[in-house]
Amino acid sequence: MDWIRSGRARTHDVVRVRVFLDHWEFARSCQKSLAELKGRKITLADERKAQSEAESVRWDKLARALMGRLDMMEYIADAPKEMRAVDVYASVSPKNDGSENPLRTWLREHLDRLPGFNVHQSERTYDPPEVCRNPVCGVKITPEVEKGLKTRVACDILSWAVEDLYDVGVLVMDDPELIPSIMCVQEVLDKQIVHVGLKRNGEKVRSAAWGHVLLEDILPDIFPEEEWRQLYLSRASS
Amino acid sequence: MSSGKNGKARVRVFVDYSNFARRWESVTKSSPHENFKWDAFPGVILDHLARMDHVSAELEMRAIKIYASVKPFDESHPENEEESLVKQWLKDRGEEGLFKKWLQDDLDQLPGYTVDISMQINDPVACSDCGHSADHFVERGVDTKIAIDLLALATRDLYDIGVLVSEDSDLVPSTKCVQDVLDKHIVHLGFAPKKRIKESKKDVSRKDELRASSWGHLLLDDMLPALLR
Repeated sequence: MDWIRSGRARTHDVVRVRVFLDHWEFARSCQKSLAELKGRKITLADERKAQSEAESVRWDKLARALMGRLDMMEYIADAPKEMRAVDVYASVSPKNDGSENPLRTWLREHLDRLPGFNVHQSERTYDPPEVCRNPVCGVKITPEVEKGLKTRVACDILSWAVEDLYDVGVLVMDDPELIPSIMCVQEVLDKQIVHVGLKRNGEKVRSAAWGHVLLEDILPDIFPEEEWRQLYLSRASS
Repeated sequence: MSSGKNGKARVRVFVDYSNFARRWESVTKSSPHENFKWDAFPGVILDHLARMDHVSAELEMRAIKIYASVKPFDESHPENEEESLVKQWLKDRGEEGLFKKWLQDDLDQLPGYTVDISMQINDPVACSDCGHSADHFVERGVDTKIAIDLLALATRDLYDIGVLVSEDSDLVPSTKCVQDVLDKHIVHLGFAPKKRIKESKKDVSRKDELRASSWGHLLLDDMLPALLR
């Protein structure tokens, strides 16, 4: 097999691919891309709706779209590949007014049931309130933060590599917190991490990762509306 | 229990400083950089570990790693700012500067100690009332660093017993992994759980999750006389 290391080729017949995706970050990236195409600015209210809007993404096409890009990557293009799992790490707002229930249900009953998808749902938490910088306003704002999600991802990237459950890890998140785990699985455990993100985000993670794929190149395959897809492709080519 | 080349069980200590300091301060009413006997800490831990069931009496302290974070403090003097803002700047710079200096020049210099300092990040939160924002400093990556070190050092077989000083439930997955997959022992070290009036059962069980998932635990309450300056 034409593969980077002959030793690995003898161990495995196929390159096992595992995807690690931060749902909140991914949803905001999709929203940002769409807003740019539409030529509109994203407001705070829009950002809050990003995760619900991302329900319309063609999630069933995501794995195929990613595999298609991996097939074009130098060094691994010719190796036969197999998608093992898409692990989606989704944090949801802790509001208990019922407004988040549809998203929770969709994550549990739709996304998690797609073949190969595992959804790890966690609740965001509230940090102690901060006071608005505007002295006239002075309102107390309670920040909503993700709790333990990145640590969970870092642990999974590393522990599944220790258990030799994948060869190529596709990381759809931009947080530099994950760099130590990326470096460790690459340098100590001989795995490859491929970063997927928007061109202008996640430079640090992209540099640390073995390879990268631009999210812009995948979005046309997973955007729901044909009109948007065409618009995206025409903008990208121009 | 597996052990190092000389037959002794190798011990590594992982301290989540801000988490530990918060709890220490609530119990002793002073911060651990003022009243904690850091130089005695390794010996006290070994002493208590040796008294635990199923732990080899032959122990060797390999390292104590402290994971701390400081607020970014701007070295440039704010110009044309209100007097109150300048005062705040001087205060922040003074406190954070001194704390960082203590971490680097005192704590890190003790034998066996390594201090990993992360800079906190300002992640401003938008105000829905007026459109302005509020400063919101967050620790970025401290838990992840601890989780990765627990796993990476265990993968390379560099310790047998990991002593974890934190109450953060984020570390539960990595604790379980080093125990179940890599056959290491994690011993949790912290104060005995104390239920506050305003705290829900859920909060208490979350704080206790790490202790519960660890192989064993030691109580800081028992060590207090030996560690309080």
